[in-house]
Amino acid sequence: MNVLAQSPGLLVAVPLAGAAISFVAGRRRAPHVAITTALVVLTLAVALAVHVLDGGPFRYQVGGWGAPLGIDLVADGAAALFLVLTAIVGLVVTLYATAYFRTDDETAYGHGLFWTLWLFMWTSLNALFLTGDVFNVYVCLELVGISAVTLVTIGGGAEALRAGARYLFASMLGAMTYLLGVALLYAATGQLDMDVLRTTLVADTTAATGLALMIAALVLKTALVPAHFWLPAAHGSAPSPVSAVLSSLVVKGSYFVILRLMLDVMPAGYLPGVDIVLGVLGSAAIVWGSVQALLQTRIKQLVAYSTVAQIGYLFLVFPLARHGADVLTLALTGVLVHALSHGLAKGSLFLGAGSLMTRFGHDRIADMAGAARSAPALTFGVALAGVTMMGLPPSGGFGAKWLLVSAALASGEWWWAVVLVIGGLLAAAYMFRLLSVLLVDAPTELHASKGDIRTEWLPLALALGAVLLVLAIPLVSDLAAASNVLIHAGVTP
Amino acid sequence: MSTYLVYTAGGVLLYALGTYGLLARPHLIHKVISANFMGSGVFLILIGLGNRSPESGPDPVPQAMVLTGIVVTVALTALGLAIVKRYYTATGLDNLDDKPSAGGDR
Amino acid sequence: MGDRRRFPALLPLLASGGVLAFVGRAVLALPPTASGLAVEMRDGAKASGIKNVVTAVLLDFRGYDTLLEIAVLMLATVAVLSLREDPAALSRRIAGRAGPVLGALTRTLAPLMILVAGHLVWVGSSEPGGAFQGGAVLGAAGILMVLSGYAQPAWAGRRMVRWVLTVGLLAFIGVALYPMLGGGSLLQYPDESRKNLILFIEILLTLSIGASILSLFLASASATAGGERP
Repeated sequence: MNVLAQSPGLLVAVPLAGAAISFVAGRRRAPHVAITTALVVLTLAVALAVHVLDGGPFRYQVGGWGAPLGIDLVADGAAALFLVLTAIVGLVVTLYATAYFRTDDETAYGHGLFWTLWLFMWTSLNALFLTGDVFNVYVCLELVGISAVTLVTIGGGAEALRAGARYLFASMLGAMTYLLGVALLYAATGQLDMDVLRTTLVADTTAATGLALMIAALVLKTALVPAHFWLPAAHGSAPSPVSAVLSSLVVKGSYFVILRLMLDVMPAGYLPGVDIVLGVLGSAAIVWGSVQALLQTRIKQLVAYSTVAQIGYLFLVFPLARHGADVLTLALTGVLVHALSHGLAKGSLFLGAGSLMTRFGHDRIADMAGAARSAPALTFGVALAGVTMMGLPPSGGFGAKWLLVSAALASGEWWWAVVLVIGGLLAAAYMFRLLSVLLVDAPTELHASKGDIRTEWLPLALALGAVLLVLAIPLVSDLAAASNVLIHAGVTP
Repeated sequence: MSTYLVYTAGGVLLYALGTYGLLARPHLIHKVISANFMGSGVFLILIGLGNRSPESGPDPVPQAMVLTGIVVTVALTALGLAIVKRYYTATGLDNLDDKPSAGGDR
Repeated sequence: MGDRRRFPALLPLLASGGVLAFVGRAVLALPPTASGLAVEMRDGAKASGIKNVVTAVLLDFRGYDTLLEIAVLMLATVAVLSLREDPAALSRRIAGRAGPVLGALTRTLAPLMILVAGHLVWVGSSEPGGAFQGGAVLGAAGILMVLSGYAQPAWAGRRMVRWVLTVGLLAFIGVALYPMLGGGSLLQYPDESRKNLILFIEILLTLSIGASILSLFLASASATAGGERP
């Protein structure tokens, strides 16, 4: 069996098998199943990335039929980046969760079903990053949605249930809208495969309406302002390992499909004006999310609103993509680096926030003074993650902003660069507000005097990854060049 | 008017009704039912538009999509009802507009 | 959070009217005849040897969708199990409720339903039917048996029930992975064993789907043991 060529199929089948096995394995053994699965999936994701770097993007025909009869998986550079990000954050969150969810209460945390739900979510994220079929996207989105909503409620408090219900209804609205879009698109074109659609799509009212509905649904699932109403409560009230996964990975799943539809499937200008609208909403998200983050008094709410802001950057690629191959290359590489650095940094921040809350026994920022003395590793992790969130050099966030600003200036539309700078300043403001409290040299009364080695050091490890990402930018550029967006735009031969 | 348009028009109508209900009705059970309206609407549209070629018979792909969609909708509905019930037992509330009292947190 | 963000009544109206207008326009713009992928699918189904084209699409051409769909169903079951409260409450509530009529009805109907479930799976390859239809009937038989006291609600979440719930998905994954050993891709059934493999998956799926439906009922029924309705 050629593992490299089989990696797309295995990246779905292995975590799915892990989910099923963890369910029958029982509470005691489920964490071991999850760790084993995480290690195998990380290996597979790296194998897929290596294969793409070596031989370019490849298609994987599930069932051997090939589109349009069957469903094809698409492994390109962009998919490889998201798969590797998911695997790294996934492994760290899995290890963190083994410490976080340790309890003697049999019914706590959804009767110990966290592991199964989490592996289902991982499966669906991998499937979403790989699928090349618009209806299969629907099934994947539902797997993501159901597992995400349930994981939000797994703590069982009234606030979490309320946030979960709100998230569920947003999810339902998104699902139905997306499916309606697929119905119209299929009725107009008779095709479901993205690559067949790319080569056959012609101007057509029905197909355009279908695609517009699909993009609207995905925007809702990605929580782009003004469709972000469900996010802060859901990400803020979930258990911290869940918040980390939701903020750093789940919103990127639906974003990735938008990226594919907007820049790969649809010819430029197919939905006139939508690229500008997405860019404007992205800018609004950056400003609104940051200002809200600045106003929060509870640590996880601050981090959640920061996600609302950081999602905005991802949408700046769409207006910039209209300005030729060079700007597109810069902008696409920029958003990919941003997705990676935000994924690592936000994972770190939520895990760190969770550990701080366990140590202090509450979530009020104002009462967390003195953390630097009693929990130095945690505070250092938050500070490092903050560096990349603000986009200070040297960090992954700095690389992403640099690329995006270059793209904006090269496009002649300098106002996107202004938004990027304002976003960086606002991020500095809300991160400093948090750090200024943590770094105060004050004696503290801690709820738990000592943390577990995993809950202390894993957030720092992720933050270090986000900073060191700056060294991997050439590798990210190579993978971006091996993405179908740039290949089909004629940038990469 | 062709037969397929009758089914499709019915589907669009159901979908629009469901959209209104999901957004406007505060009661959580109403919201779950409205989402099911939307689902049934899409299924009708899929079946209707997939039956536009009488001579070669109905297209099996939309039928397969509907069968998959039904199972997914059942799954979503089950989860929705479970969360709504759990929220109700935890807080005594049947909508998201009222805030749970501090004592309701368990 | 978000209490002030109550939707104004205008927004739902606008959304609903917008759907009517734009989707209506899109539907009317369609040509009155189109066959989509019908021809390709029919030709493909002939080659694969499965007489029912919809079954061929579901389990063969788009079998990957179905694999994930089974995952959705199992995930929803796990999700509802994670939200359950006190399963014993339902046992107490149901115990002693079953009257003689329900008991007699169950004794007559349950065996028949199990038989019908088996039949639906068997005919699934050539006529309408299949694992979901069979599983739904099987699950309904299970619910009937619980309501009339022949089965215990507290079984939901037990190890044995977990195995039944999972066996369909596990078998499906196993069969999906098996062709990879011979250099094929995921779900690429070998031609000579395609029909038997599909039947094998369908039978185990029927059991799991039946168990899923029963578990969904039991786990969510336990949440409001007081009998009040939200």
